[in-house]
Amino acid sequence: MTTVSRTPVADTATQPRFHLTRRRRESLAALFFLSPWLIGFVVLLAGPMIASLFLSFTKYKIVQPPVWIGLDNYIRMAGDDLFYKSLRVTVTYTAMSVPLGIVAALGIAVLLNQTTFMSGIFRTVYYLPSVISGVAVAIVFAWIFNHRFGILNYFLGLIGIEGPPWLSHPRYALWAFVLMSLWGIGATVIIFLAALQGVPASLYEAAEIDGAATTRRFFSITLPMISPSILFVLIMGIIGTFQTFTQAYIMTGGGPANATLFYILYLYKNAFNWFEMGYASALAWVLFVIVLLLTLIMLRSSSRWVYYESPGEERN
Amino acid sequence: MNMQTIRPISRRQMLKLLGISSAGIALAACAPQAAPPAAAPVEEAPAAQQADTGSDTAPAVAQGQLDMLLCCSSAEDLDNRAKWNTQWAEKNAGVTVNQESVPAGQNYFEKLQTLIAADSMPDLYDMWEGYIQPYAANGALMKLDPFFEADPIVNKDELVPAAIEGGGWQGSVYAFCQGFMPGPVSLYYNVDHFEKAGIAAPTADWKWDDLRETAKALTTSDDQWGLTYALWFVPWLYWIWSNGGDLFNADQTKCTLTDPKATDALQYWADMVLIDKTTLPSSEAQALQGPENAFRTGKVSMYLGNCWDVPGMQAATDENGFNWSAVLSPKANDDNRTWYEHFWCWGMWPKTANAQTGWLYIRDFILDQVNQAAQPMVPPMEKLFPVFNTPENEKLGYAPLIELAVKPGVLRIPGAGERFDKISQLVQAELDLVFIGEKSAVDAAATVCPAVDEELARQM
Repeated sequence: MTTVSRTPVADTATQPRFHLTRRRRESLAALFFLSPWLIGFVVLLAGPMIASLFLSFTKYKIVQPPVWIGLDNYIRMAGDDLFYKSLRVTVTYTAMSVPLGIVAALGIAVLLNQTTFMSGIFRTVYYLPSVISGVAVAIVFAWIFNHRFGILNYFLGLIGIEGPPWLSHPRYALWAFVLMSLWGIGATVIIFLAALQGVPASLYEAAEIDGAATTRRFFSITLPMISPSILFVLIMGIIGTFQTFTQAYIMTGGGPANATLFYILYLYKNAFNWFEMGYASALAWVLFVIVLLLTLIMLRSSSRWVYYESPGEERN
Repeated sequence: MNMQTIRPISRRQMLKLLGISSAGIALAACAPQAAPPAAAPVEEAPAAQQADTGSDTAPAVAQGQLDMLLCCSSAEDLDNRAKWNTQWAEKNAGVTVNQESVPAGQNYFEKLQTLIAADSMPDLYDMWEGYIQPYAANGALMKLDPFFEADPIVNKDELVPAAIEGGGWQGSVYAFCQGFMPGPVSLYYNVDHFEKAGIAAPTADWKWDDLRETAKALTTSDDQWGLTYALWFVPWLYWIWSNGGDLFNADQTKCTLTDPKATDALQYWADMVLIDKTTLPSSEAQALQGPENAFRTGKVSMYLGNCWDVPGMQAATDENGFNWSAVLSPKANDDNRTWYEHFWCWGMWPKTANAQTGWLYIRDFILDQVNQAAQPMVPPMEKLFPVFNTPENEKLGYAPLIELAVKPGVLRIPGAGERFDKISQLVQAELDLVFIGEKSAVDAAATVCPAVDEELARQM
């Protein structure tokens, strides 16, 4: 028979009473309320990341248990033409779509920043596309880029230009994706708009008194003042474009002639079509390192071109 | 007497414990499950030895719940199968059938492989050509030979060669094929276009030159094309094989695409697009919402397609009075015709606890040819051929398929197992350039063959 012996009351009285200070209670409450996110982070993000790091050193076909092969997946990557091709496609796309998106979004934000009686409606209209699912957007754009019936080629025809077969010729396919990327700039517009509204009017007034023209005011006041937002958008844009997948998967499958074989699409094909989950994990980690390096470079370089009003705001 | 002391734990200890537990749960959840127990293909015990047979002397009675995963079936097909499942369960007391389906347009094999990784596979699942070899080689399909040996109704010798090749690996059967069809099986043609042009209807004896000349005659200046073909399932294998060429050698170690028989075939079909301008290029096919739709809407006079295109054709007839007919797809100019073999099979999970039940289910399902309602298929055994001999199939020109199905070499699968999908992507990328006139077939083959060789040589 098992009996449970409780510590005598007299003994407990001599021990310090369990007491939480207000600060500790608050900390505990904070932890409690953060716990869904913390658990989610550990289980859904950190856990899979650690697992994928392990898998990147294995031959793992999914249908069989992983087999440790050390650095073979990374060594293999060095001689993989499709790896370079997919990286080239992705970098090209990033180099074209991110700056274009920033310029377009900034232009629209500047226009929206003008006070008009319709500005609220315009802001909503520009933001709306951002809430539409990627699959739906891909299907709609497959129609827009339709060589024969697409609205884009129709408009080009109106000005005497014969529209190309956007999605079926390797020369044009990536350009089509770049143009399509402009569809989702609504969120960036909102970020820039918020930044523009934070620029003190007194700076413009002073510049105007000093005789600065509009262009001068834009480049000498507006751009420096919103440069932290530009840095944020640039970093998020690069991360986002390096992860391009849905559009290519739906619209072209990576073709024609691998012209739209984005890095993540190639990774996906390795993982789920070609029984190469170990290699796909290695590809994922290489992508992670590339994006991390680019982000660090961006942050390091930001001290030269990003202006923080007070030194304490610097983030590098 | 055991004395147990309860000691309060500190908050710090509690937090530590929670942290360690969370990390442990995360790692456990994310660690890959050991899939099949053995890397080698699974050999299953004969049916009579299965755990769910009741006793040694008892007949093979189905018991328990049978889970199955299906791919891409229409609501009508699923309903038809559900009804059959109910009838089958009534005949087999004590068994229930749980049928789940991955909708069309989603990646069925992604789902299947995820289930394998999670070790939560259903007992039975749909399998197709191209996947059976890699799944069998990696121990994700149960070997069915022992079931054939123990079964009193069907045996392996009854399977036609195509069914053994299609569902087999290294001489054993790993997937029981419900039926199969050549790809592209049919030359669909627009009867009105032929009558208007005064051209005789095509026959099953047509050769590629007949097709090419007729396509020229039917191509008109008002945006009516002579020919198009289904882009799914590597159409170029039918061209290459029929012309006597191949993608790689017999032991699958060397790319043979540079053989003139292969490059001539590829260039022949590319020339119909680029020189004759009678065949719908892919850009136009895409613009017209796919080649099948281009044919159904009267933009194209002939369409090389598959058996599953038939319902769409019939729907166009019902809705718009579309006047079409079909014959078997044409032979190459040297009178040879080798098709890609599409087949639809049942696979069984090697770790299933319901092996005998699963076997009985798929055996009865195939003997009843339940999926003939979904699409016409040549049955896997000669004794089932009468099911295929219907007036509808006769009208579609399928009658000779029964005779052709038992001839070796008429139907082929590409081979190369799990490598094929990647190899086909490598080849397709080069062919994209051939069909827009940026490269000749000879140059494309010379470019891609080293990459194919490399892929064939790579240790999987």
